[in-house]
Amino acid sequence: MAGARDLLRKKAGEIKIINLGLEIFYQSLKAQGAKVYHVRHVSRRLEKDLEDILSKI
Amino acid sequence: MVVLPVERVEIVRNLYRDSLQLMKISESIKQIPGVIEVFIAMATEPNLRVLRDLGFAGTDDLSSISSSDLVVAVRASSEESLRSAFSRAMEMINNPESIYAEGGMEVFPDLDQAVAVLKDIDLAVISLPGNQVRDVALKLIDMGVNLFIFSDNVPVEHEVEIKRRALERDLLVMGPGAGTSIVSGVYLGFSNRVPRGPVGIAAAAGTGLQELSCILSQAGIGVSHGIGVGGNDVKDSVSGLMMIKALDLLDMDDSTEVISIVSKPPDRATLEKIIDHASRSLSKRVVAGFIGWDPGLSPRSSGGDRVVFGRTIHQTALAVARELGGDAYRSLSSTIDVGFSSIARDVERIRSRLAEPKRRRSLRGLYVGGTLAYEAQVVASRFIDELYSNAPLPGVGFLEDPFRSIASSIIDLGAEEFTRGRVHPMIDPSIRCLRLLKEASDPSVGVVLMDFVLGYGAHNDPAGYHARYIAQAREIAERDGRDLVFIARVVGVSGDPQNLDLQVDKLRGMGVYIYPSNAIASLVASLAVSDMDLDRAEHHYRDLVSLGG
Repeated sequence: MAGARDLLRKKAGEIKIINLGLEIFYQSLKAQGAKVYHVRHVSRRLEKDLEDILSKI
Repeated sequence: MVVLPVERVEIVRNLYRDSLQLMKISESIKQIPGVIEVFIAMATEPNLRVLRDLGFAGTDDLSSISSSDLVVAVRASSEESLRSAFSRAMEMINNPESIYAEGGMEVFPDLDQAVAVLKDIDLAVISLPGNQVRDVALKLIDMGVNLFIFSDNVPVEHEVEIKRRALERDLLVMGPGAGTSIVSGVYLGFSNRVPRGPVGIAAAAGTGLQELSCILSQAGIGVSHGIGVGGNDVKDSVSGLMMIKALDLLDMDDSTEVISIVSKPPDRATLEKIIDHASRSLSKRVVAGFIGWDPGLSPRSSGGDRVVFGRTIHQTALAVARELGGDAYRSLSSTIDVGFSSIARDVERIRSRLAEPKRRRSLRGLYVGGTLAYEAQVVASRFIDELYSNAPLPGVGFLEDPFRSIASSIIDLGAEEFTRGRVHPMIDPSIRCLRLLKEASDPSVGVVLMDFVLGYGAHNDPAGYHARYIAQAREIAERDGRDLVFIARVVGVSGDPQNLDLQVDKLRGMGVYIYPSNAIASLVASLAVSDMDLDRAEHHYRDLVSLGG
């Protein structure tokens, strides 16, 4: 856990990240070597709402 | 014997798959030998337009299907390839879990389990539906977690509540609607792998942050942090809550020497608040690029001598380099300032190409980056009287039908009307490529202006994808005895996954004019189709892209 100022002082590899939602962001952070964990937060019936988010990229 | 292609279109009723999954299935099916064209998508209006544009037979009347149906269309060189493609497509559609290989993924089934196991989470990336963001965000803030909220459509009262709660706990909330951020060398959302360095950026514009950081990187100038706060943050309803926080953080940050702001012009009261804060409360120099905004229009917003302004992102980058001192300005200006005489030469060359057989005066800007489309309008409106856009800035005409350009039009293809039920064209460029063919058929069109945005999350080879469509567009024009000129800006850096040099080489190989900033590309494109005398145009160049104006 880091306050905003501490977050900006950390090194990339020290920042612990969780990803809620689109897997593309998990994949992208993983590809950078970031310390990231994916959280399956959304049920199947809400996938369509996710589509709206995706369209805002 | 000529063998004609075979094709098949099937509708799967009431089956939903997200557009990223469907794009992955399409890509996989395209690899099957003999497959010529694949279209697999939800039957939303923008997608059905694409299906018709692809020329599949029997798609003229699709009134009986709804957006909850899924369309599978394949064209192949033989019945065997068609059967094989359909069989594989349906298998993948019916087993969506197989689309993403989960090997090695570290997955938690829900947030409670994640926080129970993972201690000390620093940052959460949230891309949930907008109406679900508030509860999750407040829960995470109460646990001391900073947020990057990609989600759009978060009610503004939720945004204010989330941001106020975060400020009480000294936490950073990037977004809602944040497309890009760079925090301590972690690239969030859609960002370019720019080097780390002395420039701290606070942005309310995703592709604006990308363009600014990529321009700076051309002279090796890096970014300490790039904090995207979301476009709504600079509206009076949110009043710059996180923009002010971001500026304070960058002011306290030891690795930041100069702070830059990049944003469309904020609402009036928020604009005054930001400028007052930057000029009175910060110890570091600030360069504010409120794209298209003229500080001369607002006497209260002088910013004193601590804040300087840029009208374009290009000009903002030069001002940042000047503020850094040392060799930075000379290095950047020698890299990106191509000089008006060079621009004039290109414009004259292009004008002569457009003169025969009949003078063509229409520009069509096909953009995937919203801020870049906005900046292109800022530039083009100086030279073109009859200018339209689906997302117009004040003074530019509103394009009633965004699917049909008129006169000179600059289209933001990332706008909602194009992306409903589709992935953004930065990831899947097909909607832009089909639009390109339509523009090529219009005999008034002389110049096509485009952005190619590289980086994490973007298409893995945008130049390669566009190649056959650019060639096809040229063929369409040439059949009419016309020449079509392509002008582009490639937003990227050498560290990006797509390989910047390779992308630029591919486009240049297709005869596309490439410029070092979107502002210059827009300037050349607009001047080429205008009648403005080049002697008269030079002061616009100084005003928009150099620090001499």
